[in-house]
Amino acid sequence: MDSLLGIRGKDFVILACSMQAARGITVQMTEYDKIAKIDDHKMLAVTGEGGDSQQFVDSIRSSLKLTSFRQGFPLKVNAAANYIRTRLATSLRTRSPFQVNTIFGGVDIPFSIESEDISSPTTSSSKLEEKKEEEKSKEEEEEEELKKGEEEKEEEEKDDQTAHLYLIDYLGTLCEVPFAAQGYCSHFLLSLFDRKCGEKAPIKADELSIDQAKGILQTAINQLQVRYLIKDPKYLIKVVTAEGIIEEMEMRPHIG
Amino acid sequence: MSRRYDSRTTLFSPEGRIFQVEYAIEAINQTGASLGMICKDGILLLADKKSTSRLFETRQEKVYKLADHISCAVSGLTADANTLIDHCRIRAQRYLYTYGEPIPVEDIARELADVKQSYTQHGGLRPFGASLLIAGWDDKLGFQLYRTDPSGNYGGWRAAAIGRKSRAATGVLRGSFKEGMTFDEAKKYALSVFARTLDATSLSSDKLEMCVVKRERGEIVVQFVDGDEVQRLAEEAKKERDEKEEDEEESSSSILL
Repeated sequence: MDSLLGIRGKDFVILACSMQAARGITVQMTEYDKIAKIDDHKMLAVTGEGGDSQQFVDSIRSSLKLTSFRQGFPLKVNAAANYIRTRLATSLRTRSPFQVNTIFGGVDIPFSIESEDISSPTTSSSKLEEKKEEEKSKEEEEEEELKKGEEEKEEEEKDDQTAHLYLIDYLGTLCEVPFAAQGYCSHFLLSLFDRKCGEKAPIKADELSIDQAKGILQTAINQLQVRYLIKDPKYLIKVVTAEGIIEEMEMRPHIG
Repeated sequence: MSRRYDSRTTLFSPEGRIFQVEYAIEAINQTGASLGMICKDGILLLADKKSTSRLFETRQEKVYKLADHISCAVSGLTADANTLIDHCRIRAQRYLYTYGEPIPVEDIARELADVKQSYTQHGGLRPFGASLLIAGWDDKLGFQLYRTDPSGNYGGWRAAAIGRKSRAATGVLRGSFKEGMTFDEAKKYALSVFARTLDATSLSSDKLEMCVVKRERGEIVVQFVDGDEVQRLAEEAKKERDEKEEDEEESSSSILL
């Protein structure tokens, strides 16, 4: 019953969700945020059975955070998407699989020294030769050197398409897409998105500006009000760019 | 007296040492040497097989591929190293399966160090008698060379040596290693380091294994250097060393005069 929407530009991702939390015929909340922040540059929109979605988001967020602490830098969006898929695929083959469908989006940021924290323990359990001191300083020097070299390389080979959007469902299907809709709303909206920013549209998804993408979402929400049985009064919109999640706003349908 | 603390791997001696771990490190220093260095376009690994029989079928025994983008050189007990290599390979593939991207090189080094460390702490087991030089590339830190030892220590290096005469080799490297060598220069240099530290019989292609990790058209390749080329370079290195020794003798004799 929940609606999740998403559009991916060149360097930004916009996600939108309906704000009602309903169970059966009752509306339980009208201000419910279904788009979770995974880290500064990644968002996960989830619909699912009751507590499953919350449990799932918490688990994914903590696991990815742990990975980024271990490695010293956050995972790429693609790697994180694959991780989420793997988790769902593993969970599917248990007695109580997660019943969640998701849209995952984020922006890859260039690797920088500030975001890095390689503080791996260098203590030794045995006594080594005096060489150790020298080794240590050498290690540090080398790591710095590596970082420097890599930074230069990173600049050379900058990939334009830094934003990524994925559809991941409870069966563990992973699909990278320029736009996405999850829930019954997808029956109405995929065609609309295709016409507005699909392969054959005058402006393709990666050429959109943030405002244009928001315009498309407004049209989509308006259409849902016309054709869809469930009239969600308002939607929550979140925009993520290399600067982080720069905007959170509510959007209401306008008709006529 | 020290016997009391030798028999268990997990006991400290009154001086605060863990003898079994130190013995494991010592065991590695008895086996064939391995050398790794970061060059301009990648990493070079060179290893010396300590003793080969004429009857022995030639095969890789010192340099192994851990993943498409990571290779390693081993010194120490080959059997111990094999289980560690297996572990790393599984780890690398599992990471690829989970995250859809190749494992960062440091992850492998850390994983390996963690396994080794656990054997210095759990009772009743012998520490691994193997040290690994791990060479690989990832998109965050570029080319990296890590060294691990039985204590569970690991660290990143520009050039490192393990195994027989590793202390001498490290000394040579410290004195004359230059950054940004091409592969051709590095191959010669690596062999000259071996020529200076190991005995002359080690310098032949059937006792050496050489491998480079490099980038080719955006792809990381682990490439084993052809035996003939190694043989040619080894002979050059040997000749160079002999010439140098002669020079030194001459100069020392001239001083005497």
